[in-house]
Amino acid sequence: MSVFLDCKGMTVRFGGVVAVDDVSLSIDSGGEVVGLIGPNGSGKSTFLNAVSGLVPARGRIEVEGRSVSFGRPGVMARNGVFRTYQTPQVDAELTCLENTLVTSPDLALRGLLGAWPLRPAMWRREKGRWQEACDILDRVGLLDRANRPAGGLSYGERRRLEIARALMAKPRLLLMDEPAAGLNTTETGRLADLLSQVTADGISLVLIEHKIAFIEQLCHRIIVLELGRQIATGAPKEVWLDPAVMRAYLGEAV
Amino acid sequence: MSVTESGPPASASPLTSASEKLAARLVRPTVYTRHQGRTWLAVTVVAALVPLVVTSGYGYNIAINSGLFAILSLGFYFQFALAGQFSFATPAYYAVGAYTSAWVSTDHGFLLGFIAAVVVTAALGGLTKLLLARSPLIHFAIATLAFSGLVIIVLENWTSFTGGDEGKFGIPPATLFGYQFDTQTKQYYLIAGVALICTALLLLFERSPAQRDLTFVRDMGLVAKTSGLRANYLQVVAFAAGAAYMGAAGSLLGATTGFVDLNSFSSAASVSVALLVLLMVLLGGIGMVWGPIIGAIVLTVLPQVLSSWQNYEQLVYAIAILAVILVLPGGLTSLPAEFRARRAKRKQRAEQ
Repeated sequence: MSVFLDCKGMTVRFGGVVAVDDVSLSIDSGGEVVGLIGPNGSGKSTFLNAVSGLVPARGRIEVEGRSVSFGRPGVMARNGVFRTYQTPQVDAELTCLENTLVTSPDLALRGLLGAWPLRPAMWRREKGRWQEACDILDRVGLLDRANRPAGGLSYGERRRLEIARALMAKPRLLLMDEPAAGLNTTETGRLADLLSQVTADGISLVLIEHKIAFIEQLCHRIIVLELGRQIATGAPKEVWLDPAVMRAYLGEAV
Repeated sequence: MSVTESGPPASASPLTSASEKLAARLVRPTVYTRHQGRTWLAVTVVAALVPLVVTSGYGYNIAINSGLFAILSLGFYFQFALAGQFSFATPAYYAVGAYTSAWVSTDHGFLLGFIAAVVVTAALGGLTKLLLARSPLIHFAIATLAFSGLVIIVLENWTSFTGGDEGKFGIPPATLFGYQFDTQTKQYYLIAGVALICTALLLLFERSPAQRDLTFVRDMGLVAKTSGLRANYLQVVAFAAGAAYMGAAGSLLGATTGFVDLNSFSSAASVSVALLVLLMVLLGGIGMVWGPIIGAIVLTVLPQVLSSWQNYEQLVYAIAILAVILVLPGGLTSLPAEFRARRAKRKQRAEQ
């Protein structure tokens, strides 16, 4: 396995506050899972936002050894890096199927040509895309709701729909911001199953998460942030024993 | 390992069997099963029968004006309801389309003039959106207001092109392949025909992947961009298409009246064209294509009906609009859905 994404010295400043301070992260292709943890406000989400081009940042990002300009949203998606959000982002007005279809990397006949003069060809192309989206919806267990508006979904279902949309983009790497937040024990278990299936297909994951059992089940490696700085890294079991991590989470004995 | 298998036992079995049944056949998005072809045909028949009712020249003026404003409103609907771009630049595209067509058709005939108007206004619309790609909704609206004002000032001062205060005369009447639209009835059919084609194109666009992507871009903003959707491209294309509709309306205005001056674009019935078109789209409803058409007809006919009330005309007009917007925020086209919802509620109450 080779390094897929390599972020070096990522720094994000909001005015005088350094939200992310010189954080580096590299992740292998082919299904590696890295957990990004830390107390609230330690800069985990900001780091993901910086990588996906939502906040201005300094640093260097390489995808498979090629340097990537990451300042604008959409660049990372075109490089095979897709992300989900802390609050699941689905278009309430569109159906589940449509919410999944929008990220299809097959862009052919999705403009005016497909809408007007080349409709028969567009139909043929669309059928392939529908089939693919249906398969993915089936995988996340939402196929029976394919034609219902996403606005009627429960919180947990919205999470799964967001994952379906991410999978539709055929990413090499998924950046997930607290995918298990707000899910009950059963739903969290299902999500872990789904994600291990996803990694078995060769998609790597970066997970921001607070649920320890969830992290231990999935992650090969963990990076711990505190106040924007990386304070520890390693296998899950080792990291919990690190004195710096204990201090960050539990505070210091007086 | 199936996701549904590990679900709660209560719902596991029906869910699994349902998705197994569905996996066998292909599910298509609901928008593709919502056919509107019959509605379109019905509207076409009604439009074809209008000359049976309208007999006077005055009546035809109203019908022709309704048609022109329907095309303008459909253009605004394209930009606002579909692409999510609120623009005040309607008069600019309308005027540029009219003058472009007037000049080209004088030498090269109506058809080329019409095509030139569509192409030029589409390019101008695309350019407007491209230059303002980073402006958020409200900034974009104000910027288009300024842009529209600028275009009108340029046209006012470019008297060799626009004919200044006197306007541009002698625009040849519309002809298509040797057939002259020289009577008001023929002109009405021409404009109604173009309006119906514009409607059909919109119906097709709404049932296409372009609209799906555009809706996602409109509703989700940055999320859509980070998901790799071609947000700017889609919005530029849809905005340009809407501007082209307005250019087409401008071309038809000149080709039916034989004359254009700047007053036709800045205001109609003492309301600015930009606001009037917005009012038409809101009054008809932005939920479907038929909204802008109904809004355009109602707001063209209403002032004529009210003109016999003399002093109270403006007052009644304002109250009528306020009443519709307060009672039916979804516009006139939401009336059937609203009615159905109320009846269902009443039925429910009766059952209790």
